[in-house]
Formats: sequence, C-alpha cells, structure tokens
Amino acid sequence: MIWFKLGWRNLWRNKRRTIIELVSIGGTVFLGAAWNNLALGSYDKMINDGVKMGSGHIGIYHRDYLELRKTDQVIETDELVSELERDPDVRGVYPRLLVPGLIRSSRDSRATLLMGIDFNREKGINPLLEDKRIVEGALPQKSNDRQALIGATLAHELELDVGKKFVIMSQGKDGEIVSSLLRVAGIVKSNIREIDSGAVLLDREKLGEVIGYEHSAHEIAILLQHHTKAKADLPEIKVMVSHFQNAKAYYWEEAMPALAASVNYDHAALEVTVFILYIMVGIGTINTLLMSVMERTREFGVIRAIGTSKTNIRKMVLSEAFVLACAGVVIGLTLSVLTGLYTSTHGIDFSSMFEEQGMGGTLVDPVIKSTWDIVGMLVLGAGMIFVSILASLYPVHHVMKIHPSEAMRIY
Amino acid sequence: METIKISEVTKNFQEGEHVVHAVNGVDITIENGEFAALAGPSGSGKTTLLNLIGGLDRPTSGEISIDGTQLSKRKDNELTEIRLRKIGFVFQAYNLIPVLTAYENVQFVLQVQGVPEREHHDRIMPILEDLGIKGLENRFPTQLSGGQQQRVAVARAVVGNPTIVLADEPTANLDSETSKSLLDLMRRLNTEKGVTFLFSTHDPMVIERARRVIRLRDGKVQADERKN
Repeated sequence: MIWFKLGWRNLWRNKRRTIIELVSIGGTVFLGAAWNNLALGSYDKMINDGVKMGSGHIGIYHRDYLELRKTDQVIETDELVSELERDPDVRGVYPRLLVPGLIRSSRDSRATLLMGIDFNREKGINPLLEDKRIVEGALPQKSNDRQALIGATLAHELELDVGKKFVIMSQGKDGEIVSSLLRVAGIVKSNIREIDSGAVLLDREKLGEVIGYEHSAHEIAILLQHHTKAKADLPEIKVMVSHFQNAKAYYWEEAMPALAASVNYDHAALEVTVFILYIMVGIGTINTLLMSVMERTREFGVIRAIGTSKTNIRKMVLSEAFVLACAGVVIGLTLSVLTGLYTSTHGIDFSSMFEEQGMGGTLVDPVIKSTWDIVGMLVLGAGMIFVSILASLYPVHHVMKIHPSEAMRIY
Repeated sequence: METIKISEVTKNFQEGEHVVHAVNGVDITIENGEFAALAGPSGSGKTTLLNLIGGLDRPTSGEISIDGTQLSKRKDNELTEIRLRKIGFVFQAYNLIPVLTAYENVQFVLQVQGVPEREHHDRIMPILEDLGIKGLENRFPTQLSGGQQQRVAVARAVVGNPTIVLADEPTANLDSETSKSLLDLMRRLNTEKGVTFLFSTHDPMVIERARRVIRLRDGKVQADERKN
C-alpha cells in the first residue's frame, strides 16, 4: 500500500505536469470508449437495417444462389416458412424473389432488379417500406396486385409518376421472355443507389406468377427475437433447413459479405487509430515519469541508502505509473459513461456533415446513437493501464542505475 | 563486542589522470555502544569512509565487517539488506521523503523491513516521544524546522533497531542550540538504549560530546582519542 500512497503523492509534486498527463490519458480513454460506443451503435443500426432489407439475421438460399445468383435457383417456401415461424426464437420470416429484368415506360427502358416481396408481411419491418421513404404514392395494398414501388431515380429517368403504367420483362422458368404490365403505386427514395436507380418492388406472388416460380423465393430472411442469438441458433436452423431440397441457411455475414466487410473494415480502422493514440499517450507517459524520477535522483539515492531494495524501488515507480493510469482511466471512463448516457438516447446528429447514405447494401443514418460496449470500455481502460506500466519500464531502468552515494551528492 | 571492523581499507578515485587516495590504509574497530566521531577537515575522507562502512561504496582494497559480516564479498542486494537491517543513516540535509509525513517517514523503514503494520505504532511513537517530536507526526517535512526534520531523520535511523547509526555531518545545517539539543538526544539514545553512533563531523560541539574521536587527515587516521 505504501507504494501506491507514495506513487499518488509523488504525482502531485508537479501538479501541472500530472494534470496534463491525466488529461492525455483520460482524454484518450474517453475518445476511444466514446468513439467505440458510437461506432458500435452505428454498426448495430447498419446491421439491423441491413438484415431487415437483406438476408435477415439468418438467410436461407438455394445452396448455389449466393455464388451464381441464377433465377432458377429458388427454394420452395410454403412449408419451410411455416416451419420456421413455429420457432420461438424467430420474430419474422420474409421470403423474396430477386430477379434481374428490364423495365420499360413509354419514355425509355432500363435494366432493373425485380424484387418480389410480401408487402403486408414486411411493412413495419423493412426500412425500404418506411413511410418517410415513400416520397410519392403509397405501398401496394392488395396481394397479387399489379401495383409496384419503383426507385426514385428510375422513376425520374423513365418519367414515371404514381398511377402510370410500365412493363417489366424477364426470363421465365422455361427460358422464354416473359413480361407483365404494372402500375406505379409509389416511388421509394432509399438513398441506396442500387435501389433508387434500379429497383422495382412488387408483390412476390405476382412476380412468381409472371416468371413461373410461384410459392418460391430466392431469399428467405429470418429475423430473430435478438440478433445475439443468430450464431447460436444457426446450427439448429441449418438442420431444419437441410430437410428442404437445395435450401441452405447462412449467417448474415456470409449472406451479405459487403456489409460485414464494411463494418469490419471500419472497426479495424478505429482500432488502428486508437492503437496509435495509445502509443502516443505511452510516449507522453514515458516523458512524464522520466522527468519525475530524474528530478528525484537524490531522493532515490537516499531511499536506496536506507535499505530499500531494487525490487521495492521498481514497485515504487511502477505504482506511480499504475495510479497515474488508473486515475486517467477513471476520468476517461466516467466521461465516456456521462457522454454515453446522452448519445445512447439522443444520438449525435451528423446530418450537417453527411446525409443518409447507402453503404455495403444498407443505410448509414446521420443520427448516430451509441451503444454500451462495457467489455470494450474495460478493455480500453485495462489497455491504457498496461500501456502506462509498459511506458514506466524505461524510467524504472533509469532509476535502477542510480548509485546511492553518487545520487546523494546531487543537489 | 566488535560492531565494525575496518582493516587496511583504501579507497581511490580517478580524477582525470590523477588517482586520489580518499581513504588510505585505515584500521579502526568500533565497539558496540560507542558514541564516536570521525573528525577532520574537508577532504580528509570522513564521508568516504562513512559511505564505505555503510556499504554505499566498495573499498579499493581492505575489508570492512559489520557484526562479523564482511561487506566486500556481498552482492548489491545483500548490501542493501545489510543497510536495512544493521545500519541507520542520518544525513546532513535530513533527506526525508517530502511526500510522507514525519510518522510515515519513520514508518517507511518498518514497511521496507516487512514489520507487521500492527506493530508500527507501538514502535514509532515511543521514539518520537523520546526525540521530542510527538505531536508533529502528521506534519510533512516542509512543515517542520531543520532541527525537527533531523530528529525525524534520527527516528527513522533508529526505528529499525540497527547495529549502528552512521551520521554524516548531522549538525552541519543546524544552529548551535538545535545542534546541542539533537546531540543530547542522540547521546541519550546511546546511553539508555545502547544505540551505537558513528559521526563524521568537523563541528567542535560534536567532537566535544563524542566519547571517542578518530581524527582523519588525507585519508589516514591521524589520532584515535577515547574519553573517559
């Protein structure tokens, strides 16, 4: 205990230097923890939106679909969907047909992705169907209807308005070109370029009827009660799905590698930045401790003279680094908790810097709410203590070289 | 009983191209319970000899034993342990740890010695009382006068029950009244508690009160006077 007491009191012999170092340590821990919590909050939102628009927490596909994406790689839905819906961990099941095709208006034609979805099933779940994104018109109301939503850019380019007719064309089950006349029910502006400039969303039954794949889907997105259960539930769902011909279940990271990669890349960049910050703080700590021990060369000489072992001298300097780091970490974590209380509920609005945009097939909301990564915060705190102790090794080495009789001649 | 035996000890320092013989063939024996002073002018080798006895420096040749333990054959960590267990130091500039209170400065030695915490109070307070600084135990060194600081330094030196207390010019920074008072206290510890003291000094007051005066000049013993 004496070493911690000595360490703490020695720090305050030079208040300004210690305060600067505490600000440096505390500020870095605060930045690291707050930034990490904000980043994880934004990833949560991205993943949450991404899985709702895409594969779900777990996605079921034809076993070759993710690799080849052929129209004929469909899976039968009715029995599989019913069975999945009986699982208590499952919150919702969303079968979709995803077919490349052509859209033609009286003005022009464009390549398109025809997305056959169950509007009633997905409303309130799929972010693409949120009221704020339907900039004109409304969602198609009836099943197997000829009504469709089209992307805002596509509508603009084809000069399509709500109520206007257009034709979709694609390849049917038998290889022949099939087409159907549809009417614009609404225009969707998602801020995802692929959707806005190339998607037509229509009733899945209708699309299935047009291309000849009724009661089928290319993708069955499963949303679980809680995303943390996805990995644990995957094996059980895989077994269930294996009883259906050609069907295979994937974790969302496998089904949406672009989203997983963008999240992983962003987090890796964050980790590298925090690592660099920690190194810089470590260098600052070396400087602070070295200055501190060099100013006390005579004192260390006296302490050695009265019989303090090198082991105890080492403890003395290490304790100083430890209490300095602990105080800084407490300050940093306290600030990050206080900030987190606000940012986890109100978020930080970055809309002056960027608008909502698509990334990795999902949406990045400019209002970022933080999450609570308690383990991450503790790791950042412990990491800073470790860095500070590491930074104290050179000052310790310096003190170890002090010879008592020589040191006591220094005034 | 011999406390310190110094046999044919020399200590040379290299200064540029010259070799300085700071201690030059000294033979001294200090008995248990002595109150002795190494006296001499500046540069006579007093402090160097005291550092050699305290294991802070190693002699160029010769041997020093404390309680029969030869210092020259000891490793650094063993010398540290000898200093901790057998030697108490009092320095000219007091050299208290500035961030510890008077009590904590004295306690520091017990903590390093590994004495159980519960014994600290009972060992420290009588010493502080003997030295007349009871009531000042919670003051930091900067809140104490020079004489009070030196008393705390004496308390720190004797609290670990050392074989000998080595005091390097202990009165050099004190006025004569304070010096007299401090010397009286150390003498009382010597007579009543049997603590052995060895001073290095050129202060006539210390020399007058010492029961034995070993006069050094140019690193050699010039005279060794015992008083009755």
